[in-house]
Amino acid sequence: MVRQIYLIATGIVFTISIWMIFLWAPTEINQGQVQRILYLHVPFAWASMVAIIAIAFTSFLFLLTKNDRWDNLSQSLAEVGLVSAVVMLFSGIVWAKPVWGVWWTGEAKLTTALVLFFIYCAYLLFRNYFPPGNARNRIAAIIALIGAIDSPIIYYAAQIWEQNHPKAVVGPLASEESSLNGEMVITLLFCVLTVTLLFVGLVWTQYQTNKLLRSKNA
Amino acid sequence: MLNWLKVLSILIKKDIKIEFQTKETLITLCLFGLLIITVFSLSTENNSLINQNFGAGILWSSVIFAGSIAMVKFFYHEEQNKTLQSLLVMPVPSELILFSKSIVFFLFLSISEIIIFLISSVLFNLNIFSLKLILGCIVFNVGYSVVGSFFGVISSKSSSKEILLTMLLIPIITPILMFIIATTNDVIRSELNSNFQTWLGVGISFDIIFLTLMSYLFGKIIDD
Amino acid sequence: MKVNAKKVLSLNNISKSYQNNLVINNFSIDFNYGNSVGMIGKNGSGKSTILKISCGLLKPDSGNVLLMGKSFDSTEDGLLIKSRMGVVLHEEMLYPQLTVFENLNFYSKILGIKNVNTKIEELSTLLKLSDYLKISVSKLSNGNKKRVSFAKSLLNDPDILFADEPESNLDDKGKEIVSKIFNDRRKRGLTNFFSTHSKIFLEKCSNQLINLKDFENA
Repeated sequence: MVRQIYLIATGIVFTISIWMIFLWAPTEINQGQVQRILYLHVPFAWASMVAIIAIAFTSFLFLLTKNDRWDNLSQSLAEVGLVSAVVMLFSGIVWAKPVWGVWWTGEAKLTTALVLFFIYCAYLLFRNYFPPGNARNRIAAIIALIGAIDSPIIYYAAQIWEQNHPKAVVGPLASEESSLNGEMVITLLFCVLTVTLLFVGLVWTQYQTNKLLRSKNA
Repeated sequence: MLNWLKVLSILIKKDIKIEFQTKETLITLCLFGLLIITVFSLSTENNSLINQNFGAGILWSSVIFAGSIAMVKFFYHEEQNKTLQSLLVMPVPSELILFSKSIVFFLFLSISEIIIFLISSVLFNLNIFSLKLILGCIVFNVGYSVVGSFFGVISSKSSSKEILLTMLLIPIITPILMFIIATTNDVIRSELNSNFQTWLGVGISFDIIFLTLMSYLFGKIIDD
Repeated sequence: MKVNAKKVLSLNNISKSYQNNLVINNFSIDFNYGNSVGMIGKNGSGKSTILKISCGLLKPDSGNVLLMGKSFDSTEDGLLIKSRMGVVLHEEMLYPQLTVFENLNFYSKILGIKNVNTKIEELSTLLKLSDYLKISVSKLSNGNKKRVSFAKSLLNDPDILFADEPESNLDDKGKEIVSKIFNDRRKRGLTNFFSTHSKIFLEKCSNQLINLKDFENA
């Protein structure tokens, strides 16, 4: 019941944020309408990055306590985190082409985001292909921790890579910085809140689904 | 109780002996790597500009993917014959099993890289022989072998070994992959100003962090 | 050599699940040195699992295992107890690419056996393997592989020998040899812990019986 109320409330907040994105927030001077994609891209990027840290934390708790609830939570976070990463990457690519003139650059953040997407995929593929049981849950937790430890190293390496490979952006707005005024900032922050609520709701729902599936298979 | 170095050398000699009898890992590494290089050489049409710009990526794509396939074969027999389990009931610290596998794979990988680089330098007209690259290869091979052996043991127990190992390995080794590609690019293009020292720092740090982390975690992944 | 402990093996409240199926539930047993303990039970009752937990190959989900008063871990004591046990399971755990001699030589060196050649000769005579020493293990019959596995487990004259259906795959001669080995070991104050389906083998080789039918869910 609580979850249903939460999801309905999230739906309402999401509707408000759609109104804010398309009707309330003014059009950005340099990027035009395409800038509105960022109101979803940035929150989903935030969600997918936070999810990696959360998965590492819940995996650590699982290794410590051996309580299956933490393992279930790790799995649920990864499943929703993967969806967030896909939305982030797709929205980023769609935004980049008209603004930068290219679909993709060698920017550190993009490279790290793409690698993190693959780490999510690897974690979930492992859970799928490895025989079920305590060994699988334990090793999955270890993989999550390894991924989390590697993430800052990947970002640092990507930054050094970026220094050697200047951005090859050639679009008409490549050299223009985007400027956010008050209403845009409010919209962006509201969208971050919306996506966070959506993310938590989806993880909660996925957790319950996984719980049912696990008890059915037991 | 034998000392660790002695046990390590016994484990390494055993693996080398088996490999010289079967030659599976070396053949997979060399032939598969050369096959990928050949496919790429067709696509570049011997264009020297393309070779200069993409040579590093082509070389290391072939090494990475040939290495993954060879790694799967390397651990497949251990899992099939349960010989890894036989070492678990022996007085052998589990980290030594990881070290011995990593060292042996490092040797085979290094040998195959020499062959692949030789052939590539002919096919793509590249000058890739330098001390900088040799040092870079050593650092890369250490990281690749340790991380690969760790995930090799994990993936050997699953139904889709090849895809699982590749999917686990490549994202994790991204930092040293960037390092070795950047270093190879510097050598191919004869770059005088490069970030080699910074990259070397990244590579060595990665090796130290993951060698420590994986030797600590190895005992937990081989337990059933 | 005996490590200072009254009981050679203690399993305390062991539970183990495989792929969400409970195989062993709160199983406890202990026995003294110098016994030949036979374990019987129907298929799927957990005999192999109990043996594998006892020799440290499997970790129980709960409970603890003490072999010669020590637990299996990576400390020096944990490794010491491994040097004093021998294991023969269904899987031969031999390197098929190597010859019989090379396999036994390898394991002898790991165990730190002095006079390796003498020891291998002694065991190959006992187990009628002298004609097979230079033959690759992959070319042997299942029965001969079992004999090699036995030879491997006896290299260090272990204080405790774990064997899972030791008479399986062996012909009558082989079964006789194994029975003799078990009885000789018991006379010398060494311990055997084995599982079997054969009542004849049980009567011949054990002085203590564990019937898993008597243990709930075991």
